[in-house]
Amino acid sequence: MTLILGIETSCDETAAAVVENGRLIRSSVISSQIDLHARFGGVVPEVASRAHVELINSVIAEALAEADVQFGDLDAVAACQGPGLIGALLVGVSAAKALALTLDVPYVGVNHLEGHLHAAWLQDPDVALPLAVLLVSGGHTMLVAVVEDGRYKVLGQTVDDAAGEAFDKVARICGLGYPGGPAIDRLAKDGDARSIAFPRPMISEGLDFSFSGLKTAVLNHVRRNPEVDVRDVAASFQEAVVDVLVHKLLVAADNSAAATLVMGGGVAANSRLRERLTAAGEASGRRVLVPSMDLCTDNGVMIAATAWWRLRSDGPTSLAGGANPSLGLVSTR
Amino acid sequence: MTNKDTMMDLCTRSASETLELGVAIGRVLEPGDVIICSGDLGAGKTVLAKGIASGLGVTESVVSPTFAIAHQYQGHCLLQHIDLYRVESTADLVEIGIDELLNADAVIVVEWGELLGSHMPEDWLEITLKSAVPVEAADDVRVVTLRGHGDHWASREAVLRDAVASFEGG
Repeated sequence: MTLILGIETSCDETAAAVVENGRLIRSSVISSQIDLHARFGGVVPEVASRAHVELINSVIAEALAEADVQFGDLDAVAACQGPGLIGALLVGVSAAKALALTLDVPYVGVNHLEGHLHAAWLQDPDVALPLAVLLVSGGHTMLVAVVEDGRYKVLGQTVDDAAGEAFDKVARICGLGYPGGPAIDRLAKDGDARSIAFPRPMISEGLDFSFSGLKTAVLNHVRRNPEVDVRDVAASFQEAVVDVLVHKLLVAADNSAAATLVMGGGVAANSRLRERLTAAGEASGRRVLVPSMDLCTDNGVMIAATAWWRLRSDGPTSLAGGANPSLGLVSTR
Repeated sequence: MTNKDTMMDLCTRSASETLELGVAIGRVLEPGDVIICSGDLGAGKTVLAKGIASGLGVTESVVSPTFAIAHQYQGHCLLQHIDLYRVESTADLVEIGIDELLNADAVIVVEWGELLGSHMPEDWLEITLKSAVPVEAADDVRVVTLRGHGDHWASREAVLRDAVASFEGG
């Protein structure tokens, strides 16, 4: 049995998890989901790079307690080493290295994006490969083919804004609150998705995405039509994004001969995207795998699970290795 | 400081012209230069930043840093691309480590930089993008104002003016 502690601090969440043999989730603690206010008495800021420092020890302690293990039971300690905000990343990386050094166990630095890929199929680790994965969040929008364990190919990604970012910004244009994704999703249910013909950017141009122009198209429409029904704007905008995402995921699946469509990232919570993806899966005879929301958004489980694979294939990461805010996902050979 | 301010009014007629303007500016930037970019959503701040990156010799794709807050790219020198859209308070600025981000040995481009407040450096180049009136035909037209603040930009005025000369007037 191999027990790995995974730490994730690349953006707003402080998260830690214990995973057994790269598959069995023994615990998962995410700072925004536990009552830290009660514990600290202070305000936990939303943009929380430095807050990681204050949260990390309790989050790790909670993850060990929930898994019912001691520090001495750990076989390795892993942390997300990028991409992300440098100050935020360094908190997790430093904590993981310090623990690994003290416990005399391997340290593993994990790529955040590779973590999301692993999380995507943790719910069914025996799913037949290849997989076509759509990773869609506030910070990322990319298509990846997972060819075999630990081997993947980046098929396309956004050239400007991430899809989740477009949701947030359109929500602001429409005067809705933050986070914008859920607000658009709710309003769109009562709107007419065919009422405004927003562009489907780059829909027939390869597998890269572009959402900046769509955001501007919404802005221009609202400026010119101040009386427009916000529900129609939300529904029409959402339909444009979903059209592009689902269409390109299907093309990616065709190109990579994938029988399973997988989705990860925070935007995977969008109800219309889930509905359309499920329908597309049925229509094309493909299986659709969408992990639970806890695994779609940033978490420690994906770091620990990926570390288990990395440890077997590449061995430990040097303690001299730092954090890399610009780390990309590079196709493996 | 005001008397050292320099100012240029420019105009771009499409997103690709805004990109070209960015390229022209990027070509004359040096590590330590701080560019503060402001303008509404959709005004073209990220497009301009893409151009600046290209002018600095960055070959990888520059994407919006809104969610991550900062992205770094390597061109002829380092480019630090910061976006304060998600920052809501001075406390947030401290949380994200703004002083370290601004002090990197790099060309620094800050979107929504008007939120910097007291963290504003002494010398900075302000670039403001404004969309034209909400008339369909003018959707892509942008009025771009460059304003150099501090001694550093006073001494760079001629170089900068020369670089963007073809976008002047409008």
